[in-house]
Amino acid sequence: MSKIVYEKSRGLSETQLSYCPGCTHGIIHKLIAESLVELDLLERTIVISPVGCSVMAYDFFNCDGIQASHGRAPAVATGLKRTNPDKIVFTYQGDGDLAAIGTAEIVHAAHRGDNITVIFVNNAIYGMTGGQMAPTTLIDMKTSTSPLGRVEALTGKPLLVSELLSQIPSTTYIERVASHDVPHLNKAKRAVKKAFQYQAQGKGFSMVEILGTCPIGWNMTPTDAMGFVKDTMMPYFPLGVYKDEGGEA
Amino acid sequence: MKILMKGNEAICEAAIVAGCKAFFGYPITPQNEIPEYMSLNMVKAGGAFVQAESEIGAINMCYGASASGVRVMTSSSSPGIALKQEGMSYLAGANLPCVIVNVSRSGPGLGGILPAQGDYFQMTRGGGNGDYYTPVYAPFSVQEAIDLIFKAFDVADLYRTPVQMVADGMLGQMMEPCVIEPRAAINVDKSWATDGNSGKRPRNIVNSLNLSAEGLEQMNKERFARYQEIKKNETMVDNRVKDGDEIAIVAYGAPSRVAVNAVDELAARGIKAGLIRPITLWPYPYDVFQNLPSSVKNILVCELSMGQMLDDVKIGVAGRLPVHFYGRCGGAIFEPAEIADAAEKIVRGGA
Amino acid sequence: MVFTAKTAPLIVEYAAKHRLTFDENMCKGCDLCVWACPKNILKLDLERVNGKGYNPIVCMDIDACTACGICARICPDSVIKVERDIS
Repeated sequence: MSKIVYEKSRGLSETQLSYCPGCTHGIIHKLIAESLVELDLLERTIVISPVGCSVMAYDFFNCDGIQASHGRAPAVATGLKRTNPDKIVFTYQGDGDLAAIGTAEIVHAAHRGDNITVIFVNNAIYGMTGGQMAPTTLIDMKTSTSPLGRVEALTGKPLLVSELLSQIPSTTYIERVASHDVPHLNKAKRAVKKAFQYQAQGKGFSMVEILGTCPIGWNMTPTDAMGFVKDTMMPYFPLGVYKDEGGEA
Repeated sequence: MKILMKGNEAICEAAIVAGCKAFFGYPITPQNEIPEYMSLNMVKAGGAFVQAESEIGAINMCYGASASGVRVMTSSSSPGIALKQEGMSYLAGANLPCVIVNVSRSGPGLGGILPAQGDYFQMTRGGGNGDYYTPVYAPFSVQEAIDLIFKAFDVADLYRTPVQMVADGMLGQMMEPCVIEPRAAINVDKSWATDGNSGKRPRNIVNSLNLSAEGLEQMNKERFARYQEIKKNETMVDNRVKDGDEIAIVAYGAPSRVAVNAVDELAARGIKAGLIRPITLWPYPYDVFQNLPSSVKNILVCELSMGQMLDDVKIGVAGRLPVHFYGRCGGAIFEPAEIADAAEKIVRGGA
Repeated sequence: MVFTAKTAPLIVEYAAKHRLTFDENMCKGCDLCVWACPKNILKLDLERVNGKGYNPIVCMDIDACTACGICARICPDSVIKVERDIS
């Protein structure tokens, strides 16, 4: 007699992920897929993929998918959800997509309190385009457009998205989690699951910010990148529930 | 039943009767009656209305709603339409239907709010990035705007393409008696819609990305094959040129009503002129210029711009006849006498 | 360029009390499972490459496996299936 402790989620498609070795996008995809299957929501879910590393996320989940233009995924989600209120709609966005070019769209989807879920992966860099500085790049962090390190005097301090969105009156649930080890992944999955549950219950706008890695963009091994999340990112981007007005999930 | 209605509001009511289930827009003069009307009446009709954060937001909401298979519309005016180009390119690339109404104003830049036709290039040459076109309807009366809205939704669905309609402040604000009645519904397969598969079909994907050169080329060729069908089936023109006319005047949209009066004035001056009024700006009715009566010796293009449709007339005429231009811009509108003077000068020589 | 697994699945099983199954051709050799395994029984096989050209993971000592599932949970590419003996 044996029991399956872990196997690939049926919420994921057969398509091989396009991510670099050791990138946490794959791990985060698993959390989403598992949550949707466990909540029995997969078959009425539509994923909206961004521009960036996860541009092909529509290919990786076993549900309908829409590819959005850069930063506009929350607006696409609004249009889809308003015409299909009984469906589960989530955007999957990186920090370039959500925190730079798409700031108007994310802020106003939150402002309207749209009943959608946003999975925001913050890895402090533009991965797809080759490791440029993002609004979330840490001070002194070297990127291909901050070759000497991010300089606060010229580029300000890294943008704190969870803190920002939690100030918007109509948001329901905002939490920042991390993906660098299994205990944190368990917490991250609980957050993702709660966000989808809230949406299914019609409770409004939810966002889970997940600190992730970019081993190639950071010029680190995948295992060193996991350490960087813990030692360097987490002190600046504190984990925790920034807002939860959803009550019992 | 005939009712008296403002152009902008008639466009909205026609869209609702045509089965439009969602409207996403943003305030900009002179189209504000459209989102205002929709904010009440789209909701009353059980559809979705959102005043977006920007024109970019609005067109991307259309993209999301259209992906799920519902009929959707947005509207704006010239600079707002410029902002929507990113979304329109995505709609075209992902083969999504959508109706976009441009109540145009004068430009470039912020320009002014008075009527102008300086968006012709933007509307008929794709407008955004990549290889695509959108059908463009240019009504000249409130009733024709209504009829073309029904047509626009059908064409958008049939050919899976964004469709534009252009009006201006004149048509938008003008009140005319009109009839808005349901039309026979067309039967369109939307099994491609991303509305959640309910486990009953393979997953659907709405997407314009294709990283394979051959794959993307194939997608574009398939789209252009549909464009050939659109050209064949959907080109519309109001050709009033008769045997014996000496000059053909080409004008579109509300300003073509001025050209109608100019034709009458020219008749009073003893000059036979005929009007050619393209109703679709893309596909353009080039053929009309190949079959003109031999009596026509000159063409006069009249636009509220520095001359944009002029290029298409020249393509259609293909050097067989002299093509002249008379235009006003910046919000200035020509009088019938101005057009008649320009035509008379051409016909009597000295132009 | 379409990212599909062009290589046929290559399923590698390790079974003692518990069972580990690797979908080897999906492995990108990122080392995260090796790093995360509390029993230190996984390693990258530097002598071989899989269908994608990566050094795949191998289990050195399946007898020591406790079927905790940590390797499978951290794996970005869903390479690993873990079965626990409950008889």
